[in-house]
Amino acid sequence: MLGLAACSTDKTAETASSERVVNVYNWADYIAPDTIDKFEAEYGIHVNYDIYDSSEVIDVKMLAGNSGYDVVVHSSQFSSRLTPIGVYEKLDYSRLPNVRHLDAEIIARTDSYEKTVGYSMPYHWGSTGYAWNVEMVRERLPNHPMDSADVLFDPAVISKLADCGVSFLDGATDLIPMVLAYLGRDPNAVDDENLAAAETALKAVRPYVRYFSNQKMMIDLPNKEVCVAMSWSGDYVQASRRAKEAHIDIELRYTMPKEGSGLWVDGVYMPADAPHKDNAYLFMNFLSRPDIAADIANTVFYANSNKSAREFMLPELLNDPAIYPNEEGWKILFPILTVDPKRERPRTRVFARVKSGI
Amino acid sequence: MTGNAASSTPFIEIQNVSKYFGDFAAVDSVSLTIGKGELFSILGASGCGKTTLLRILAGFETPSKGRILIDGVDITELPPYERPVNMMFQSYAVFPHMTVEKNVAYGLEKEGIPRVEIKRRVGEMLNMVQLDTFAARKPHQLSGGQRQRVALARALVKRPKVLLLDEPLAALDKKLREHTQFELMGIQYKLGITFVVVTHDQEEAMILSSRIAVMDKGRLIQVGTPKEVYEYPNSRFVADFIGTINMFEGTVVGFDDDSVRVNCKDAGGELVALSDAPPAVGSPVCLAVRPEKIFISKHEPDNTEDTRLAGIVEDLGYFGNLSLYRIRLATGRVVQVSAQNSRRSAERFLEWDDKVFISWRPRSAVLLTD
Amino acid sequence: MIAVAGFRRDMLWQRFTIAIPYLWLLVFFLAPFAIILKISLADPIIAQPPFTPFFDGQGGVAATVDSYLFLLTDKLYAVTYLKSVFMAAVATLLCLALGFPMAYGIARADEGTRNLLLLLIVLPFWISFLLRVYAWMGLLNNHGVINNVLIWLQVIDKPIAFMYTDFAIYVGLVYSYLPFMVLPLYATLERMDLDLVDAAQDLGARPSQAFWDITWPLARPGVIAGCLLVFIPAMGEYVIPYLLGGPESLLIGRVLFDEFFVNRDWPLASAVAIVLLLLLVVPIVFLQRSQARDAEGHA
Repeated sequence: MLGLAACSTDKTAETASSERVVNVYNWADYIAPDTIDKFEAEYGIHVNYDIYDSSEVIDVKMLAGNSGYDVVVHSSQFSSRLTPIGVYEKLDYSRLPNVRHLDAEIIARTDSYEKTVGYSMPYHWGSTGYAWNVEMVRERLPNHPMDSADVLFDPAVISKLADCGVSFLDGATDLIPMVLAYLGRDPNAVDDENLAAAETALKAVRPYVRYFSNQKMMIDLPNKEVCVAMSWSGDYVQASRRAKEAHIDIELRYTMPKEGSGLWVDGVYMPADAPHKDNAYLFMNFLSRPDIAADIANTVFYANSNKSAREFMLPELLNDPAIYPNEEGWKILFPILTVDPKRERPRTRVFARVKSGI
Repeated sequence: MTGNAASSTPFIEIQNVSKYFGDFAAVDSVSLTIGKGELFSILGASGCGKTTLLRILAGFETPSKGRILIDGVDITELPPYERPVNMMFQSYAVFPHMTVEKNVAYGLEKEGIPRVEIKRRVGEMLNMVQLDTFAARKPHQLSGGQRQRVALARALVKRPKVLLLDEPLAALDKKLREHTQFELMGIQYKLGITFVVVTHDQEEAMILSSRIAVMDKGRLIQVGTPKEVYEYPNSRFVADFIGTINMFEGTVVGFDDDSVRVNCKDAGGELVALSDAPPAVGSPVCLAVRPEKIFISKHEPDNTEDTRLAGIVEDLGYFGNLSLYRIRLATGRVVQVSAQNSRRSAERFLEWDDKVFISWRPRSAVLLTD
Repeated sequence: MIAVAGFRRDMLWQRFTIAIPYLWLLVFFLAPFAIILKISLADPIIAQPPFTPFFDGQGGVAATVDSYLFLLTDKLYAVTYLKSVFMAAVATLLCLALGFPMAYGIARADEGTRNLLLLLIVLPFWISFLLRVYAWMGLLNNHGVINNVLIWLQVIDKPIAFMYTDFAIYVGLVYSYLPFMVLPLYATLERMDLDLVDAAQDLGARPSQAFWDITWPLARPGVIAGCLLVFIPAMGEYVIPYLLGGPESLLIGRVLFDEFFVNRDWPLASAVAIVLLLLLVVPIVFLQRSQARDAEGHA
């Protein structure tokens, strides 16, 4: 039965390339509203656009294979593990002429995932920190500097904010490097001693954390259900916009903690079993066209690596040090590396124990 | 079998009881006295209020007005579980998840009677209703008649002062009905418990009861022994409801001694009936005659005191023990007549379209004003 | 001859109809179960798919029970299984306590009212499950409807933290699964002969005694069906604890998700699923036996 299925997939793969279709899989809220329409109008290729809301979900789909997607946007950290086992197609950059617009300096600074080289096209990148509601925090901490991760990890500080709500990102790969950096340790360490230190520190502040989520704070920040949310750069801008749409008057700010902030990078990839590879190249190249890349950046408020796109990008985006770090910022940023898979479970366990108190 | 119960001391007293559901009077100002040891039937069509009256006696409904006394004690406000009354439901309501023995023991367990005594009394009762070999069975393993006996035993084992029976024979087939009918009478006689039976079947009421109460639209129409109710109905309703009767509407035109002359258009002239409380001349009345009280003959009878009418045989039916005739009078009115087939005859006495005479004695006719 | 052929055709047809439920069971239960069982006996590797093959290629079988052993060594699993069983059981009892009077009331209502009430019970199904859970977030939030009303009424001066607590999970579970309790209970109670309760009272039982002696045992098939329909999905529930619960409400559904998605340990995730299934099979077997006993009693 499996053999039969494989046969028929091969057959469809041959005929599929001639279909005027491309299947795209991307994060939720990670594209401009008119990008798809513009591509379809220009190329006459229909885009089946599908979205996900956590890296884990797309990761498992890629791992399982036969996803049917032609273009996927995925974290380069996760992709470092997928590339060596043949999940992705090695890209023919001659078919992606728009990569010439990329900024070599930024690429050099952000590309810490050597295994994905040759397989990915840069999409967006950013830092990990926390967004905070100025009014609510200042009521409770009038003179606190708000430049450190102590807001999240020092029981004496976070306890004062517990009543207005503090949320943490829901993932070991974001939280544990950040607390290790705060403790002055190697953020990518996964040995028992470092993990134990992270666990102790996190358990001490656990009582003051309202919840762990990657999404909920995007609703709860505008609604004042939380006043500090560990989040990714750009999130605070999207949250501010939502508040404005709902006519809620709040001022949100974003801090990259001075002790260290995790750098994340997302790339555009093509699954090795993509059924419409020709169309996939066209779509990937389209995403890197300066005007299109600028449209997307202006919408999602994350930094990209496209130099030529800058002339179309909003000044408040380009000049926001929370999004495009200054030299000080670059010093703080550390790459979140892929860890030894055998150590993945101990790290997840620490996180699970912290979350659940078990 | 219970003697003249009506004259015995009042045991159940229903005093001016009414039950309203919204504006609708299901039971309307009913007063009734039932003697100890009576087998009393409440008879009426469905919706006449007889079941509501029974449920009031059981305590499932509280009367809107009036009081109920049993053995001199006012039980109007008592909940069903504190009344000295038990009921056998039309559906039998045998508990499906309990064995026969458990069903019968249930009421005694609720009384807190010692186990040993329960066992003894349940055994006795099962013996009496001939279910002793079925004690361990579940209801679904029993026939309809056996289930009914479980329901009966379950109620009787409590030694109630009054047993209420809701349509006790309705669910049984004809053969079993007759058998059960006499079995019920036997048990009642043996235990001397007062039975109150609700039924829509007048035949059943006639056979079972010491007295019958006929109900219509929530009201009590007539109370009496089966004979009284049959022979001397007090109203058109009772006359019509119990058995078959020929009714001639008319007006009183005069009196001869103790007999009343009634002008009936249907009969084509004056008819005569006896009455001890004759209505005034000119008042509308109904003269009613039972089919079996009417004689039928090919020649005009000589007895001039009898009422005599001429007609033709429109229809006839042979029922073995008796024959039924439908006689059409000159006025077009059809009269029902029944006759015992006392003679065994190869040929029929009467045929279709035969010219005949029908006659009855004045005292066979009942004069109804209501 | 013709009669014999007809008889054979009947036999074939009969066998075919008997085979349908078995086929159903085979395709939709046993086959997936076998696949999950097979994966649970593999080792996780970084590959596509991310586990070792069951057959080693030389005609042998490469199976390991490491994943099951790991379930025993890390207390996380035992604790979350127990917590899941506990929360599902509490939610089931709450549903029963709320659902029984509801079902009883509906079964005893007159026909027009009854149809309306049944419609109201089923009505929430017309809205997406996820939307309804989200609506509860709007109600239970610190600045949600309930807290705002209570503050406005001056019952409280500070919002009560309903959200992200076990309480919120119970609200979500009970709200979502109550219809699955009410409907089977209604079905049994509606069929019950009302005379039975009257008869019990007539024989001397107080209303409460009549309830426990008659109504309750006769409603038992409905109670069992309702409890299973609530308990089984509540046990593996992922969305409600995720959206309404706090982080300390780590339930087995989430653990399974984490093993599968975060740790990419499909064999362990499969082992968690198999054990979960076994935990659920116990109440089902209990139901089967109880129903068999009831069938014996009512056949």
